Amino acid sequence: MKSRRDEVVWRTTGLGYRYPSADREAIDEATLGVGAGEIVALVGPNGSGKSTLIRLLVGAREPNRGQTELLGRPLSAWGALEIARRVGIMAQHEEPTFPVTVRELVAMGRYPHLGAWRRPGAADRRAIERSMQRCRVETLADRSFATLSGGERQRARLARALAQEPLALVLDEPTAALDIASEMAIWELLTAQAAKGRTVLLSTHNLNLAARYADRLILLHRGRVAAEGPPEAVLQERTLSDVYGWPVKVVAHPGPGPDQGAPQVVTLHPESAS
Amino acid sequence: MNGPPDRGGRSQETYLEAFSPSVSFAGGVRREVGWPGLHRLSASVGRLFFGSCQGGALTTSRLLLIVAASTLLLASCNRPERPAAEPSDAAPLVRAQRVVSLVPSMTDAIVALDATDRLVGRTRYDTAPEVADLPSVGGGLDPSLEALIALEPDLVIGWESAEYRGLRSRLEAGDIGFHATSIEDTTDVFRSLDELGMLLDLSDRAARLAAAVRESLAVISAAGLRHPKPTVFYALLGDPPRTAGRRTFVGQLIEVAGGIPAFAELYDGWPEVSLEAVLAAQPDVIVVPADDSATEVADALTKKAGWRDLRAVREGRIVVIPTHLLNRPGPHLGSVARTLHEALVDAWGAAP
Amino acid sequence: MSRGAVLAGLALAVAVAIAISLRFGAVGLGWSGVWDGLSGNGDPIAIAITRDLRLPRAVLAALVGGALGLAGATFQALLRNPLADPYVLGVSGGAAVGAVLAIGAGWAGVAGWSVPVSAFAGAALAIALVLRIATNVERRLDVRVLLLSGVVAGTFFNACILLALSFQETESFRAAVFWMMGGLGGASWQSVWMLALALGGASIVLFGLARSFDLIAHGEETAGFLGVPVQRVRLLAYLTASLLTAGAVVAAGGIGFVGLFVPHTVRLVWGGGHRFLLPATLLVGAAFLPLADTLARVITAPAELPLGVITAFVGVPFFVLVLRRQTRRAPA
Repeated sequence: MKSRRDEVVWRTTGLGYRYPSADREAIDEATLGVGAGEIVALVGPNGSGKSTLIRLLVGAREPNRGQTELLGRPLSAWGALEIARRVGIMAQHEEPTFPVTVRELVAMGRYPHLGAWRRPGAADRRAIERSMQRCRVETLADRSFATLSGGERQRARLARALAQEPLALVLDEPTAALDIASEMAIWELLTAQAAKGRTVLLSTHNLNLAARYADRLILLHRGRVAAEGPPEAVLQERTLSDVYGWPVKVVAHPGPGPDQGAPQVVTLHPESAS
Repeated sequence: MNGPPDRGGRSQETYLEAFSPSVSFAGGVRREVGWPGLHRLSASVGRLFFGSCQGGALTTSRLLLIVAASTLLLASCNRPERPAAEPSDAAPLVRAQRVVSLVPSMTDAIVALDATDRLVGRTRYDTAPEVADLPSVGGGLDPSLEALIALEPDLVIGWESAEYRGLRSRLEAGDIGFHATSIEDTTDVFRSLDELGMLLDLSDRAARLAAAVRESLAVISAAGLRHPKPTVFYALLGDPPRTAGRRTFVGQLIEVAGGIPAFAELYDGWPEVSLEAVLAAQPDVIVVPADDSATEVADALTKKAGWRDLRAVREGRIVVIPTHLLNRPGPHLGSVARTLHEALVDAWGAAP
Repeated sequence: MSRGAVLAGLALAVAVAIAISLRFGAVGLGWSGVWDGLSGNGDPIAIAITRDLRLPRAVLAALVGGALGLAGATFQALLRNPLADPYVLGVSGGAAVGAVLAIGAGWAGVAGWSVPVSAFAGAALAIALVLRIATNVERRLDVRVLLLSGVVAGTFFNACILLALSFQETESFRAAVFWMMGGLGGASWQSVWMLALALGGASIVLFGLARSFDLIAHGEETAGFLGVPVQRVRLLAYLTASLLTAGAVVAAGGIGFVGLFVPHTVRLVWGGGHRFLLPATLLVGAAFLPLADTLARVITAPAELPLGVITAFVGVPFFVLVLRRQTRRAPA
């Protein structure tokens, strides 16, 4: 896997955020960076701040402390449309009110480029078709979104993010409720995108796939960065057991294939001492 | 069909049932067979007309259509003819000494009969100086039951078709007489004077008063107006406007004063007429009950769409009569007719 | 058929509806009568009826129908709720309070302007009140809070209406209730111009927001991530649609259902992108209401049924249809 750090996409310093009427910080002193073309996976237990961090990084929430820089400029200097033109974001949930077809859904991704009044042109239509093909949903183009399976929906939403023609993709638990094949499909798609130079930042609960596909992992624990670096460095038994509160063992992927030897996390019976 | 009428008119029926014979019929059927029976009955009628019940929106739509059509039919029924008052109402109440009249024109009649001393209460609409000192019981349709009963009347005169919310049963229980009356046209005025005479044992005086009113009406009728007689449109302003039916006292007063009511085919009550119909009819004179001055009303009408295209408006033949004269059909009919006649003479011209 | 062609067809339908509204009424006029009336030849009565009575009324009906349709579609997108209609946030309640008070105070008589002014003041009060309640809870304009604030305001205004009605005499009571049921009796060129202006301005604003409606309807967060300034769009849409509704209610009373089922009809037939939906809803509403008004004037001629009665009766079976089609679709 490539990891070019020539260009920094995100850099944060001392980021802190507390939700109104919460009793502790959601994000506490987060200092991290994401380089161009990297696949970075945010991992950590529920409530560790993964979603919050993602929102802080895309400007959906303003931090109480600290700074974020996107492509060298402070995030506060970016407009929402500007960000949307560079960053394709896939949130965890989506509840559509009215029926939409897949094509209409993907076409929404062109909004940052079209604005309120411009009519879609050839370039827009090409972007839509291309992203549908890349995510292999072009056969579903005229189907209603509500009738798709979980995996198909996530691919359609990914196609929308790709239609934005962004520099970076940010995804909040994109494979949370998917079966093996659908999940693998998403990871493969993301890898293909990263190979083309797109930066991918995603949060996930699947440590093992993250270990195999991501260039770097960022492990969050109670709003703080507990560990950060390549998978082997982050996926240490002691660290994981502490953070997740469950005894685990790290084993090597048996192969065959290029993933042989990658660190894989296995949970143990609760009574096993570490 | 509705059971024996009790003393003082109908008591069990609601306002709505009094309004429509078909609703009364349904009510009667309901009382006979009960709600489940009525439901079965209508279901079988429905099956007869529309075939067996099939599921789905079509039957629902049909059902809705039936309900809608029935509502339209029933709601547009007008009140049926009133029955003549039963003399048995009056018999036990002769020589009533403590009277409260909830009907303003009856109050006027009592005053005209010089029997003001027998009144012990009034409604808030009775503002004449002779009765101003009497305690008020509130409105004529919704008087305060407490205030009324506290006055200890032996006779209460009220509206025939109003729902008095238990007042009548309360009065019955207290052995207080209730006389229901309804005054729509001039015949009713004379009849009510008659009844009043019987109730107060002042029949002679009542007959004299009635004769005097008849006399003044006859005089005005004889005076007439310039030929040809004008069509007169009595306009209750609104969108759309309403007019007086021919059989209302206003309609009859117009005829007495020498005019022809503009919508002669409309008989009862105060029906709506579309402004288009008024335009097509092009009445000669318009009579408007209002408390503004005639110039104000005329001015406003010349600015309103539709009205300004009426000949009568353009030529200024608008007669404005103070509202209080035209909303209490009672013993002052004569002077009202005279006022109306004079105004029409002004607008149209006197007979030679 | 291309979307543009559909819109052109709908515009034609509006013209036809207005023509029908001119032709039928309490007084019989043939097509030639209408033509003569409009062009100014012939019978002065026909001219007066056509030009002075039926034409402003038909045009106003189209404008009110268009306004209610457009406002309805906007509220449905804004509140992310297919059951929203222009009155759900209490605008018509406020207007009704103003109108009922004005009618009760006896201002409705000959001078024509006091009731509309009073109604508009009431509507403006309602808009401000809902906004105040909604932003009191949170600084952002949250959908659920907005909806609840609207319910609160609506309930409050209904109580005020009942209070005002309880004091009124029979005549003004009747007039007030008929006002609330909706009707175009007082149509004048003045009200036509004012509503046309309001509708024109509101259309420009709302058509511009159409794309963001698509995105917001799909999910607030998603829309935000795509660059839509959700809070600003919300506020602007809310104010514009509410003022538009106020204008329609002031002109024609509380005509129900149009704002609810016209957007649904368009969605059912042609699908939901707001760039098409908003103008299409405007046109369908503008074609529907003159036809409904014609019915109202003709069914019980020379008396008139209140317009709200016709729209309600059309609305109910329509709803049964929509409900069946919605439940037949696979649950989301």
